[in-house]
Amino acid sequence: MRTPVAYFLVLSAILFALGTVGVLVRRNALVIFMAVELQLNAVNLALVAFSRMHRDLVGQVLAFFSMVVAAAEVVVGLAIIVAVFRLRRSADVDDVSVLRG
Amino acid sequence: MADAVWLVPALPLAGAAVNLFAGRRLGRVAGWLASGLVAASFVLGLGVLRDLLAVPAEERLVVVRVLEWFRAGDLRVVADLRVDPLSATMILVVAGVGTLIHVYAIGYMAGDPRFGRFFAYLNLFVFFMLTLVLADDLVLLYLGWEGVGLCSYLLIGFWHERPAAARAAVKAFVTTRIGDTAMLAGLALIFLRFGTFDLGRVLGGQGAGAPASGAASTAIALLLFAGAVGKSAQFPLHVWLPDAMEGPTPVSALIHAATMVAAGVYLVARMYPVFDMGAPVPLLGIAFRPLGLVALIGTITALMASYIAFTQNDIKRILAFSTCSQLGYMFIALGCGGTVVSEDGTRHLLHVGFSAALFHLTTHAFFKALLFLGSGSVIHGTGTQDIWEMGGLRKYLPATTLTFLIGTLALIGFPGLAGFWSKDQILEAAKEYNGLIFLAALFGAGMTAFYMTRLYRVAFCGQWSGGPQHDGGHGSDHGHDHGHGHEHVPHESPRSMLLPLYALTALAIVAGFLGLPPAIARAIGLPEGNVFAQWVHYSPPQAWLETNASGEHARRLALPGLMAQAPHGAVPDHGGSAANAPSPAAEPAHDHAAATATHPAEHGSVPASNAPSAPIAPDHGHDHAAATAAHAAEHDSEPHEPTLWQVLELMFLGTLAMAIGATLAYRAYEGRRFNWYDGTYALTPLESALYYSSRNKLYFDEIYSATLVRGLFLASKIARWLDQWLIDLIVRGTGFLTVQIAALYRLFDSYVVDGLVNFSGWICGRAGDGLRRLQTGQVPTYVMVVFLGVLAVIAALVQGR
Repeated sequence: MRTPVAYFLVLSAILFALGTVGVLVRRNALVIFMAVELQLNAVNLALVAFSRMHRDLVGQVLAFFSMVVAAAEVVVGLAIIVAVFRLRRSADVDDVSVLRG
Repeated sequence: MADAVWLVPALPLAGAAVNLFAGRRLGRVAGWLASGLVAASFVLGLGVLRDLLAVPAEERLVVVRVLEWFRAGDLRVVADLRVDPLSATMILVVAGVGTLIHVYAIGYMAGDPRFGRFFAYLNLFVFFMLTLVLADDLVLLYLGWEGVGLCSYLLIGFWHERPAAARAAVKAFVTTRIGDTAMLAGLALIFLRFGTFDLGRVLGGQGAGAPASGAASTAIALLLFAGAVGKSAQFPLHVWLPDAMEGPTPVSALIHAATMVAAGVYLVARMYPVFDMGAPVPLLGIAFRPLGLVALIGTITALMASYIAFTQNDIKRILAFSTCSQLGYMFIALGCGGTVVSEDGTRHLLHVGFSAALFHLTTHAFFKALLFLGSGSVIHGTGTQDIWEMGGLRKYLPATTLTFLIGTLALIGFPGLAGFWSKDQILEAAKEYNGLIFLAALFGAGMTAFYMTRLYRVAFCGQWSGGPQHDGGHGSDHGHDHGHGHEHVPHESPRSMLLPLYALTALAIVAGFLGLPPAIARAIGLPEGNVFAQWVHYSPPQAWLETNASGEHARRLALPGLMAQAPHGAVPDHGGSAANAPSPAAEPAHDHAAATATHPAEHGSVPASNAPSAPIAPDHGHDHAAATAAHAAEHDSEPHEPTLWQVLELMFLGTLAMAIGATLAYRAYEGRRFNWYDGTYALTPLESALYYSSRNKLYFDEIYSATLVRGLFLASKIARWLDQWLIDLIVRGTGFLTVQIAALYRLFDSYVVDGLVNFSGWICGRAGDGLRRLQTGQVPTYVMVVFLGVLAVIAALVQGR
């Protein structure tokens, strides 16, 4: 008895949508970051689901790479956020508009 | 021997090089070195003479290939040397007299600060002169020609500290240059006509090419003669020679009496066939053959220069005018040689003129060099050049006086001395050619005797007048101080100066016997007379001699094959033997139609310019249409020698003229009655005109400076005015226009070009300003844009499905 792949995809889509909305609507940089992570993991879920469907390991390997890259990205992103916070005593993305044209 | 001929000019050149670079260190040795090298050239010249004498007269021509000088297109210029009797004679005269004068100059120039340099120039001159006479190529000849002119300039201006010497040097150079320019044009014409500068081919010798004839020859001959007139100081370019006496006296003797001024005579002699075959030139209503013009110029110069010499007081200037006059005699002789057309239309050769000119050149080189060196000795001893400041020199300078007297007698033609024989030959040539020229030459001989006797009488006889009387005046012409200027008693010259005088005296006595008239030689039992004329003579091509003035020569020069096809039926007055004979010599060409049909085009100008309707020259005296060629063939080409009686008659006339002139002068200046005119008694207008025109050299210098020099200045002023107003106007106008156009262009540049540039910049600025607003710096905005973009892509993909 195997769970149909559609279930996983629906869950993945819901999670990705949640992440997208979070990125778009939240102001706090940390929260936006968490929403981005949610999007990444939603995609990972879909990859693993496809891997299971095809009965091979390609999707899992790709998910694994994705996680590694995400970890690195978190390191850089958090460092930037910490630096910005130290400078401005705030993590609100609306305040950071120095690059305005 | 022929292989060593190149050494003849090369030795003096080496001497010149050594003395030029090391002359200062060599000291007195420089003079001996220079003399020795010229003497070596003379010895080589003797060797050449011996070699030439060893072969028959017809074979006396050797062309020595030395080197190719340069090559440009068709033009090939070679430095070949032409050894024949003419050049051998000139070598011996140049190197022989040159050696003696070199030795003399060692004494004369002693103590001069530029002693070595003087001999370097003198050697260089000898080199160029020998190149000139030996050249087988006209370009090489021209090199020598200009080279001797250069050395003449350097040596006239040797004491260039004196303004007069520097001016005289420039005058000599510029005046001869006028002739040289014409000569250069003549050489160019020769190249146009013949395509070569090779003398052998130009003169038509050695069977190469047809001899030149006609109008082209005339033009070439006259242009070359202009060069000779400049170089030999003939009327109207004679004005430089008296001034050239500013140079040291050995220079006057070597260059301006014996050798360089004779180069003009040599040139005419060398190019004699060209002169001889030229078509007549109409001038003043008379058709002169080119050689007739030569004789005319010679006559004018001979009389004019003698006339001027009458009243000159500077001993060297008297001799200079005498040189002019004697060179005139040589041109008379040349002009009275060559071939003439006689009354029946045949052409015959005047035998005497050519060799008489060269004979007189040789003897004149001896006795005129002697006279100049003697005058140098006098100047050396007295410190003055004014004959009126001398007087009684025979007491003080016995050796100089004796040699000078013999030189004077040789010049005026005292019987037995060199000048007598050569002048006699010239008179004979003139008599054979034209009675008027003969009378002028005879009269000139009397004038020569007059001024030379006056010179001798005033300077050497009577009482010593005390030397230079005013320091700033005539005496300063002496120029270089021998340290004797203040002595009151003249003194004899050193031996190195006297020995050349003795040698030249000997030559002035014996040289004349080379030209002993054959009739006299036979009368006194000698095997042959006039060995000089047998040695150097002009023999025109037989084809030319057989032509007559009607142009039949064309048939004779044509090929026998063509001759055979000529319509013999048109010759009624000849027998069948003549009609059947194809040989050119036996072909009596009467048929003018056939002649015009067969003759080469270049001969066409001969009959054209000899048209009977034109004024007739003395030598073209009669209607050429009546000419018959048969006479040409029968013409006796042997010299018809004058009889003993004719010879004696001529000698008597010459001697009589000399005796009258000499006696008149001797009487006139006895007791120094006629000093220079000092205004103490009145002259009649005629006397005054004669006296002052002679004293002032017929005002040639004044006329030239009033016309030519002033004309040149005027022309240059006009040119300057044109330059300032016309040329400058154009230049300034061009500049002004350029500035105006530039101003217009500036407007275009600043408004149109800059406008475009600024406009594009402005567009970019505007665009950037608008796009700037897209970059808000708000991260959510960017994310929203990305999100919408992704949605749009997805929508597009879904739509594309």
